[in-house]
Amino acid sequence: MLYRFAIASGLLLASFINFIPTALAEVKFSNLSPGVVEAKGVDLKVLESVVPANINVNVPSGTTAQITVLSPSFASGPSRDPSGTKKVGFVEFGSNKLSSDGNNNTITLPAEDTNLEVGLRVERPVSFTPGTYNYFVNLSVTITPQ
Amino acid sequence: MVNSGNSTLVDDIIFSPKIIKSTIMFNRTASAFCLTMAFTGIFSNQITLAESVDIRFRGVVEPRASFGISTPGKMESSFSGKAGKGKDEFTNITPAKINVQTSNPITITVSSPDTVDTHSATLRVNSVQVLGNNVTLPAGKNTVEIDMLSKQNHVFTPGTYNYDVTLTMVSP
Repeated sequence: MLYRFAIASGLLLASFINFIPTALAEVKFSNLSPGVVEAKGVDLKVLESVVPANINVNVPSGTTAQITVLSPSFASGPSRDPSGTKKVGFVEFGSNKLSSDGNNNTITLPAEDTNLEVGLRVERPVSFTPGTYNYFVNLSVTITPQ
Repeated sequence: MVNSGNSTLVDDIIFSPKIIKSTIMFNRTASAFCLTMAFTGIFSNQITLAESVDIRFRGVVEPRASFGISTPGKMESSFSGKAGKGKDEFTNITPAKINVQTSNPITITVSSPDTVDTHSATLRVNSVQVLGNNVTLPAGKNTVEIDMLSKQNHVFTPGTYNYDVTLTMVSP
């Protein structure tokens, strides 16, 4: 009886030991520098990044990581995005390009450190009211133990 | 043979419970092992961790206003009055046009040409007649038309005449 209990306990312990390091492993973001946007064209209907944002993402070894770029969100400004506004977030690293508006908004990240360049484009059906605007692009990284 | 058979039968009766008990024990151990492995497998394979970050972008949209390419207007003269006391009049048959693009509302003012005795230039914005010599344009793209009328109390010397009209935009 005792040895069976010992075996079961050992196996359970082993499973926890396997599980705990995986749970503690997490993605780390660092060296975030914000981007700069500028109005394009005479009619001021397009706001586009002229200086990309940069961020470093660290993927723990022994995991598979996938990154997804989401559509930009309005944070502040003299006028909100009206209905019909098209917003696209971009991510580039190496030769990989992600776009939030297409099917290629998710890709596998390599392990260890990767520097990402992030951009955005906001196109309104009407002109941007002059003033200062802030937008956010959300990046989501999920990791799964290999 | 009979004894041997009985003996075999007795042996079976004695040992069968042990075999069954061992099987049950083995099954319990196997079950515990399988459950443990399943537990390990479930948590090892299905747990995913998600991290997200918001990347900030900032920019200033400066006010802008610009004139597009203008289309000159065309005028025609007409004569009226008696011989020796005639009057000449220039009226436009085609208005001058210009597109105005602004990022915020602006006031546009038209000046009158200053080389004739009696003259007036009037504006139409998006085909709507403007009263007075100025109007506030909404943000966006607008078409401004300029109509011109010129009169004088003497007969114009035959020839070609050109008049300039100045439009001025001011951001209120």
